[in-house]
Amino acid sequence: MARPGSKPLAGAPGPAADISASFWSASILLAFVFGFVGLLSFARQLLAVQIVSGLSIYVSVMVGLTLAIWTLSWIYMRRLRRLEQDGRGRGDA
Amino acid sequence: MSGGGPALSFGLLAPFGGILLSSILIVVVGARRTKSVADYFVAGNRVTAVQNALALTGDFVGVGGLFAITGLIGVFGADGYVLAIGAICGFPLMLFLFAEPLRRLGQYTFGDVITSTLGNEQVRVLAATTQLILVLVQLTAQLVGAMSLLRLLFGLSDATSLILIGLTVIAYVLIGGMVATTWLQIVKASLMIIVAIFVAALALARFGFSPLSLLQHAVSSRGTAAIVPGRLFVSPFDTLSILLGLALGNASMPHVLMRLNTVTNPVAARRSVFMGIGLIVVFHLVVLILGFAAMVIVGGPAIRHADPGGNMALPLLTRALGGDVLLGSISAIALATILAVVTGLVMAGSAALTQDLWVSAFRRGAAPREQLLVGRIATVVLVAIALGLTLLCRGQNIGFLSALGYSIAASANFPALLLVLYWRRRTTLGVIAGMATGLVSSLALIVLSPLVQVGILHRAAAIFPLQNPAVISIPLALAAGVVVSLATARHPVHSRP
Repeated sequence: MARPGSKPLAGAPGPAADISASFWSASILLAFVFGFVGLLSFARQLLAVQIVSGLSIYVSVMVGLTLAIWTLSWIYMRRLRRLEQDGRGRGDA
Repeated sequence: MSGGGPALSFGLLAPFGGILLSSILIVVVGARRTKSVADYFVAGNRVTAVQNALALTGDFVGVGGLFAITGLIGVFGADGYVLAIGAICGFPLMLFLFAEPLRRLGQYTFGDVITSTLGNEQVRVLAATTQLILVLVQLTAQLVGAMSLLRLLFGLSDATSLILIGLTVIAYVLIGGMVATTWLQIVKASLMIIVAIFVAALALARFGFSPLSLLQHAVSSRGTAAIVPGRLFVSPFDTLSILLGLALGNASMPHVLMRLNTVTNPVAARRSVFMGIGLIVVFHLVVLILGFAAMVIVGGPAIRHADPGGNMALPLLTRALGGDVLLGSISAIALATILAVVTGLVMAGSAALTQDLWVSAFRRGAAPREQLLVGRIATVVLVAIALGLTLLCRGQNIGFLSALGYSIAASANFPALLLVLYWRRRTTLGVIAGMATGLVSSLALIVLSPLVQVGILHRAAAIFPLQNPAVISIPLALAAGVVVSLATARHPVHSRP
């Protein structure tokens, strides 16, 4: 993957700053998935703990993960808007 | 719900009539707006970001999302929501990696993207073949679902159900093209989200509008097993494989990727996917409530009695909460969902056959009129093949068939797109090797998996131990693409600037 500021990659449309944002966002998302599977595999006892009656850490983690996925997308969109304002984004075709 | 279907009442039939009439209206309006090849395949690139967000949500959230996940939570508890997490990850991955580049590169199909970047037309045939296999597998899964729904609701025979659905889909696509397909998805997605929120609100009303109270009742009725892990997913590798297959597969399904080309520009494509993520997140949180409500109000044993796979949990919940009218509404929307997804899939398959095979391989420079004619013939042929496959797959699990499609997409399409869009040193042969390895390995591992060996062939054990091949086939496809690219790097096919 190219670093911000480097030349656009051949075949990869858009400046490298954009590509870097794409790469990091996708990596963080996959880290969420792997982390969740890790918790499911090695921390079942912890996930089974109830924070309050009826609400387990497991349910909270899954709801939190769902909201975190949206938040990550929002951060990515904001990052791309800023890149476009700086003239380093992909912009309209 | 089991048996030959419930007694037909006005409350049950009226919503079906409403949905049918509104969809016919949409198709007629769509036909008036379909004049060119671009109108037929990508709605003339005139769809707005908000409209596309709803259409993408409609493509993304099928009956599998609403009925199957509600049922899994209703029967197995919180574990059922794990599948939703895998599915939700697909859209952000598409936003981060594919949305803008694909809109910038693509014209109609997945094959356009691959060839426009590599500048080589030979790879298009393999791309088209993969997309056709994917489309046929997904079509079969959706048609099996539609057939089961019509049998459960109206007691129709399988053959009658298939003929009715097949004729409807052919009429929708032939007359309305992508304009009508897009508007069907928009209307259906809006209705589905509104009705799901309405049913969830009705259910929560019984618990003082407190999700926490609902969870407490779930624990009271089913014990702590309802809210702890370990009932559905035991093997870490299997769980990872299913999540990766769903996430990467959802991000690279051809009929969803094709929607990115219906908007005006790449920024609109990005915005539409982002708005779609918001809708999907809200929808799945509502499904979590519906699942626990089904567990408490209907009960796990009653759900399993109606359908061993748990797929009828939501219809049972809606009947318990709102009687036949609500049951009719949710069932009509479910059928509209299947029809809308099927029309989208048929459009993607028709585009692959016309643009990637006919226009590129057989009749270069075919006139627009000929392209439209071939596209329409391809529609009829695809639907006919899918109907035949559906008859062969009667009684198969819908989830299994859908997972098959997602695994193939995750293994063949995702690595190919990643190599093409983000790796400068990839070669045409490398991309072909990656796609072919992903396609063959995912198909082979599915055949060797417990789902086929134990579940269908009734053997004592399976050769491949995992239920889903994604954790093996995706890295294998990527590795094949990288190794072959490096091995053939002395003769790269130059990319277009």
